[in-house]
Amino acid sequence: MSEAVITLQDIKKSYGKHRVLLGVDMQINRGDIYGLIGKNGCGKTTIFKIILGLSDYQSGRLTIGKEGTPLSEGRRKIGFFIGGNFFGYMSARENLEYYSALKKIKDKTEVERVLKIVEMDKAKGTYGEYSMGMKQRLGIANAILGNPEILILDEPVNGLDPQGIVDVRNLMQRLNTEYGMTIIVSSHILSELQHTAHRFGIVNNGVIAKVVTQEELAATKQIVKISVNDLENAVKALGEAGVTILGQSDDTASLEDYYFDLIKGDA
Amino acid sequence: MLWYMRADLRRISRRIPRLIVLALLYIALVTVLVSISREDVQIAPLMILCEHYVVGFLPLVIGTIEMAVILGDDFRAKIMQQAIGMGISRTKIVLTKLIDLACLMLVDIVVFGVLVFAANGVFHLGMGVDTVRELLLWLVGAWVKSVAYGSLSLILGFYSQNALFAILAFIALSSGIANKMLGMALGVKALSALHLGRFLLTSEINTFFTRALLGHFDIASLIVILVYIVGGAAAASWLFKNTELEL
Repeated sequence: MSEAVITLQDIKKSYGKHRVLLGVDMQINRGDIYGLIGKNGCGKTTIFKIILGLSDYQSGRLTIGKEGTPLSEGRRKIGFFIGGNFFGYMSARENLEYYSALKKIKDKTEVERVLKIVEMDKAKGTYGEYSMGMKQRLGIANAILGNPEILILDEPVNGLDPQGIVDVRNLMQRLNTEYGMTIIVSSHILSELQHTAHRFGIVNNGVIAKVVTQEELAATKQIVKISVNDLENAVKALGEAGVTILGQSDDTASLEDYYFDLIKGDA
Repeated sequence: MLWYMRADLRRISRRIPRLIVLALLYIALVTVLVSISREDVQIAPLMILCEHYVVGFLPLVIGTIEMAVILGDDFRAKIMQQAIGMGISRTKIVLTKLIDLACLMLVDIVVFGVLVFAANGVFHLGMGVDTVRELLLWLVGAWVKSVAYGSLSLILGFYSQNALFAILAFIALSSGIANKMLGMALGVKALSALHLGRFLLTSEINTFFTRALLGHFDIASLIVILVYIVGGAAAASWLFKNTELEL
């Protein structure tokens, strides 16, 4: 059985009269890349804030690590990226040195190590002068500083160009496979998340409406690739045989289609 | 908390614009002190001039700068959110900021004191042993004022998650505006009989150090001052705990 590293049980949260989370149940297992998806304002960031202790919740139960571990202790195992929390007048290295001190990291080479991982070790200038892609990568570098067991990434590919998106995707996969990090990631770019995550939690109407694995997602449509010498006649023959062609040129089921099918009527 | 404080102090102490502004202020304050003491030393004792024109301004001019560097960058970049996510409690964050202020002001005031004594040697300002003792006491007074005003200002800063409110509150307190306004409010007929004016922070600090100059230790005033400092930090921490953090 998979070992749970983060468990949310019936978490409820309101901002005044606005109820955001109506009872979220979620389990993240060791080694997971868990994709959290949902429309804007559905509560994805609130879930992250609750896990990180940045936001309180009205009821429910949150466990980080083993049962009974104090939350403050559990949170020390988490590295996170929830936005560019850096000093604009400092360089990448200086910012990470600051956070390294906050995380009580004694190893002087750690900052250099993470800068190399995100390919920012040769970055010049201050944070305020960096491009969006550099800022995102520095955010991830900060998240992995100290080699945390769990990584929380909120919209890490926001504002990135296609190459930047691919770089972040490859980085996440490397961190998961090479460094054994458990990753929870949210993104609006579903097609991108589909390539990265093992499981997807779909947040809708204040709850995790569905959790689906890569395999389950792939099994929702049967897709067979056939090569024909006459496409027109092949399509005609299929039609005559009573076969409906649902789409063309997809080689895997799309997370985007699955998501929109699920929330149909709620949007 | 110690690590957070060390990281913060290291960051602030390397802030070049801060160092330049502080250096300019030191030069200005020592210049004022030297020119006043040379011209008016016959009219009023040096220490009265020093207290009114120089040491009295330390919390306002230097304290405001320190408040700005301690809270400004932090709130702007939302560094505290990262610290909380790393497992540092909100109470520790508030305390760290207050201790940051206490440490920086201590260093600033010690540097200022050294400069004044150096100026005394170079320009022959005529400071005797008593004068030095008085100056030291007023410097300690300036430090206590800075810490106490800082503690009260943190309430607004952490409640609003905005450094500007904390800085404005600090200016209102250290410039005496808040003290005068509260004094007037407490002077109205209905309240004047209660003599609450003497419990105002600035009044208590002035009472404590004036009596200390005369060789008395006013424990009651000291307790009230400590209540203000601890109470300010506790209120800021409580409000911060109950505030939804912006991302």
